[in-house]
Amino acid sequence: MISVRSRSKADGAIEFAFAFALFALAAAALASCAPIAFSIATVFLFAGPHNWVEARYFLSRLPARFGKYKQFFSWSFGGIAVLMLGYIALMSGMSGGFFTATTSSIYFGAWNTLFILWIVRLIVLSGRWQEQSERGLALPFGFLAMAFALAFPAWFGLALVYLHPMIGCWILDCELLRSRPGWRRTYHICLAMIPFFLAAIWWTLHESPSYNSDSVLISQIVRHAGSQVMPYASSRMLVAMHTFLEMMHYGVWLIVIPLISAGWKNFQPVSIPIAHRSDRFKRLVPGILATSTFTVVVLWICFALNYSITRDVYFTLAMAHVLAEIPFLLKTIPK
Amino acid sequence: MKTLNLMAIICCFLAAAQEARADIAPGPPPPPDQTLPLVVAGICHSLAIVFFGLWFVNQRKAARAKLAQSASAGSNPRIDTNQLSGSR
Repeated sequence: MISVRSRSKADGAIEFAFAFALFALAAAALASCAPIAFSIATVFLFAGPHNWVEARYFLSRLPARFGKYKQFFSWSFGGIAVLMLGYIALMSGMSGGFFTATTSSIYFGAWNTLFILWIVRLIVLSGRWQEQSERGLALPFGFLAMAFALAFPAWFGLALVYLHPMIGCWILDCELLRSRPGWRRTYHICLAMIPFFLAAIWWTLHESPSYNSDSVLISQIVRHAGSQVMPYASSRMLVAMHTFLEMMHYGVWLIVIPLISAGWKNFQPVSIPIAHRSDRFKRLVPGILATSTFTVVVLWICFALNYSITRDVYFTLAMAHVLAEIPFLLKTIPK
Repeated sequence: MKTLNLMAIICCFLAAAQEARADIAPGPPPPPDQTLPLVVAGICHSLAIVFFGLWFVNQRKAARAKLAQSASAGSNPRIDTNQLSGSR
């Protein structure tokens, strides 16, 4: 009986692993062959829709009543709003030339410090680490991260860019634990393949010449991949690695999570628990989904009209989803 | 007088051209002053060490308290006898 059950739980795991490996191989091959073109295409096609799916998933995972986690959710939403406003002000000030290099470095340091302190507060409030002995480590590790962020701000920013795709994979792991526990072992093996694909990209492109173009768009993409932080590395390789990771992130959000998470078959807003909180929320939730859909369409139009400016604006505003992933990850990590 | 005026005008033009050139190509921006972030990073690093130390001391204290509690429970035979008699 047990063996039949466990076999049924692991059903489809092999197909999942095969599809994952094939997807990763295709992403790595395309990213290596045409890094810039692939980067432009993936952001144009998938950036908006993946944010839509993420918003839909987060809404479906929000409890109807916050109960004892009211403080956690208040800190989450408050923190996202404050950090987001600060980030937009910082980016606008920098692109408008209102700040000197020293002032922007101080503001960036302050923003990074607030960001880390917010995560420490959420770790303590999340209730995932019940023991004082485990929770007590959040602050010293937070201070260590703050010291790193202040001493090496460029590296800290780059770490966020490269680690963000991995947070999506971590959320998928938590979702698998909930809906397909039999697939988790296979998924972990699939995740272990990612460093090999990155090593393959490095091996293929580490000696390739860097991009030396006057194009604003190419310099934007190359800067985003960290060419200023690592001028000694081939920018072609950096763009390929970053695009590969981004594509894996988009794949996780656009294909795997909708397929495996329970309740995804029903796209009706009624299936979202928080919609049942009150009449106001019943109207608010479809409104949020309609606005998100409209935003995705507007984003596509803006990308088609002026890709470079839209990319800059998108990656500034997309900080909101990077921030939103943190409380959701903390809430989904098993106790 | 006319020559002087002409020279003044030429000087003004030259000055304006030089200013414009400086505006167009201001040279590389000065690197940011990293003193304040580095000082705060040092403070954060020290605080991290202090809090790691406090955590370690607390752990030791908790472990000792647990050990003392289990030792005192083991060295009280009367409770055991009572429990045994009760269970009989």
